[in-house]
Amino acid sequence: MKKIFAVLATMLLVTSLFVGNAAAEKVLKVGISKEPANLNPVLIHGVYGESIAGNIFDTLVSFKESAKEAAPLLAKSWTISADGKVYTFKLRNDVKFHNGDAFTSADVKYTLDEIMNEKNASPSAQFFKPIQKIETPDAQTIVITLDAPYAPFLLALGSQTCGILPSRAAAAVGMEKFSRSPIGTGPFKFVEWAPDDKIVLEKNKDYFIAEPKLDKVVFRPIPKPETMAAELLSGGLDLGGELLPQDIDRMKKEGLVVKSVPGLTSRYLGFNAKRKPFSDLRFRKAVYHAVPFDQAIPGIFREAGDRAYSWIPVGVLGDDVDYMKSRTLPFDMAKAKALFDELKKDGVMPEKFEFTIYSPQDPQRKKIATVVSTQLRQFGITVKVETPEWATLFPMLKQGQCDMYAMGWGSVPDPDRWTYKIFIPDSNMNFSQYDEPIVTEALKQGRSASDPVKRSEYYKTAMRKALVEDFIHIPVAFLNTTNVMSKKVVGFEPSPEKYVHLVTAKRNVDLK
Amino acid sequence: MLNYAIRRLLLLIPLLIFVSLFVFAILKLTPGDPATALLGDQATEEAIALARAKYALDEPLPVQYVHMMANFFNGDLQSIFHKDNVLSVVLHRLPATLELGLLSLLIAVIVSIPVGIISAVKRNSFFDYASMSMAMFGVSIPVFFTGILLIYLFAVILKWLPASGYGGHFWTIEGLRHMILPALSLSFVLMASTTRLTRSAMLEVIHQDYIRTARAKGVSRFMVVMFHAFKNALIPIATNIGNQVARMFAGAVLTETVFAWPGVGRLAVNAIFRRDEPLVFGCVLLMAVVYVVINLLVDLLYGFLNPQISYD
Repeated sequence: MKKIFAVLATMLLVTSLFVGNAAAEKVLKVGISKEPANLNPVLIHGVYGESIAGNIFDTLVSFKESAKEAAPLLAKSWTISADGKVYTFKLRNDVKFHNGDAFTSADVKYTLDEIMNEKNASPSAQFFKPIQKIETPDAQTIVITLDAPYAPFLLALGSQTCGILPSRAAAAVGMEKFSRSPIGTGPFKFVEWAPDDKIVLEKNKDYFIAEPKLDKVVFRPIPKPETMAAELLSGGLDLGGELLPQDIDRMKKEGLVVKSVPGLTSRYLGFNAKRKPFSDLRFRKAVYHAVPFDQAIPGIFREAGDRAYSWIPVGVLGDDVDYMKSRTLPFDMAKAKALFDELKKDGVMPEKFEFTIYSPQDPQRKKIATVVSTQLRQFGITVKVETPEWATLFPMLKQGQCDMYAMGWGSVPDPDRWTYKIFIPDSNMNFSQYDEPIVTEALKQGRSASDPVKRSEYYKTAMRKALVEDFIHIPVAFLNTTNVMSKKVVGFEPSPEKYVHLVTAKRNVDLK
Repeated sequence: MLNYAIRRLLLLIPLLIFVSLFVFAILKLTPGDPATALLGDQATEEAIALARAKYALDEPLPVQYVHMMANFFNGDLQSIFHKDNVLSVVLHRLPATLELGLLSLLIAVIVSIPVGIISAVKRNSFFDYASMSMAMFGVSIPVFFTGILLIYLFAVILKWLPASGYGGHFWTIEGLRHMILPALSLSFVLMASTTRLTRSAMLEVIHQDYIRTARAKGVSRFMVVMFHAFKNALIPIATNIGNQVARMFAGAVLTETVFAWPGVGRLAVNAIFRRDEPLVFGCVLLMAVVYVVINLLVDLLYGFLNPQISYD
């Protein structure tokens, strides 16, 4: 008898080892490919921190439902003066922070002051430079005056890096400590951060839009896409993204739900405008002709991205898709050869030419660089592909040391954010060292113009000059944001910025 | 023996100074800097300059080194990424790595020593060929590959065990469930080499005269193998296991990344990519201490295994 009990007990123990506990709570497990460095909006850079902070904090205005139009969130309404310089916001009076403090205009002023405080080295301070003064006439009103009109200002206020902090609580602990135990007004409260393991949030029952349907959300950083895929297939994760294109096909076959939207991340090839022969328009055109981009791009990106024709994403003001598409250079080996021969004859390019294309370590950009390298070999040009890690590559790019590079960009849906820093001569993101007065002037005008039609024209002028006259960059692709989720997840939609918005004015994600 | 241990521990001082100089030099010779890695690709020059000033990265290199060493020994070294004390960040992660290491060591020893002994005793048998082929396989296949294979088999196809992550200490059911796959994957490296070494060490002993004498005296085969032969073969096996512990730290870097395991290995790798110089510095120095201490323990173990060995 004893033996039978012993056997039964062992079997029970072994069974319990291999079978998970059924949870009564609704816990959404989300996989992210990188752990954020910060959860304090003032210090955040990068999509992973923004994505999680977007569930803990609220912004004055919201772009969560539509990337094109600001919707009220902490601000009930707002007015912009005729000269485009004075923004007056009326705030909600029924909002409380997770620690019970009431939300007032002092919190908004505190947050903006901290972003602009040099000591915090806030990555988003650059977008608030036009602010001249901030006034709080009463607890529910805030008036922001700018030096000059700045069209993308509402977007800056609606970015996740401008989530409103509780002034008292944040000031008490300081910016860095606050980053490890953040308090906001958002749908979820911060519970725990176990580095490299998980970040846990629980619902804010008193959330002013609606009570979240999920009880908890666990964000798990999983660096290997193969592991993320296995977690999704085995039910260890409910929601994930940034998988390998080949795994996505399998997810569909296995009955998982795959949702995609055109994203706000781009890939492009850039040439150095200061070094020969890259500075010669003929060389850039020859490279364009030499590479069959129309065949290569679907091969590299599959469903993860579509060919780009401009810097400005489709659907964003000034995208000018039809014109830009009509002016791309076709794949034409003969033309490429003729141009390379001409360059050699004029002494611009040596007979045996060798150079390096630099790219970050992600497989897609490496492949873009490799395709160019393979194609140019047919013209007797030896192209090395080097992929240093980011902290090494970035200083080289900034100092204009890269002759040719495969890079990317990601931003909010405003043409200024997609162009200004890339093409303005003194910007550290102008890796090509491109300096063209027509483009610079148009981009400066676009920044301050408030009429959308005029703004659109400025961006068209700039992009037409830089991309289909000077061919200083070759736009390669815009990536789609693809999320894979189990069938239990209800109401989740991917966002172009790769955010995980769980509760908004129109949605409240649930688990069946 | 105490004197010996103290002498060995004192040797740690010059060793740590050498390691710290070496790590510091490598960190500073690598292009790029922590401020860039911290603030991301859209940061302005001003923001980067401010961050460099904030973390004293604009000081002359010798001053930075002295600060780093002084802070390390005072326990004040701060991680740039974690905004926390390096020692507490590392110690917080150490249990996850040590538990994983211990469990994989246990799996490896339980499997490889008996297999090695049987292979030696039944030399040139089918079992011997099969186990040596498996061991060869284990030595040659990279840890991350076995990791992914295990995940697909046990988590995706059979759905018996979780694919990745840390579930708590291994004495809890959830903790053990999460630890089985990474520990198994990490144990393969050690298992393979220990099996091969046990076999060859046993083969060397098993043909010696005293073994034949013991058998001739009528001692049973099992007793001879276990108490006469195996005990004498233990020294090279213990040395190997000691050395392998260091390799396991290196293996843990890969295993922890594949299994999204929050241990010291992944911490160190992430710190390198994030250019968190104080954390890389702290991790390497602490790992050096752990390595030296483990090797000291192995050396002290020799005295127990073979009383003829003296430490004076």
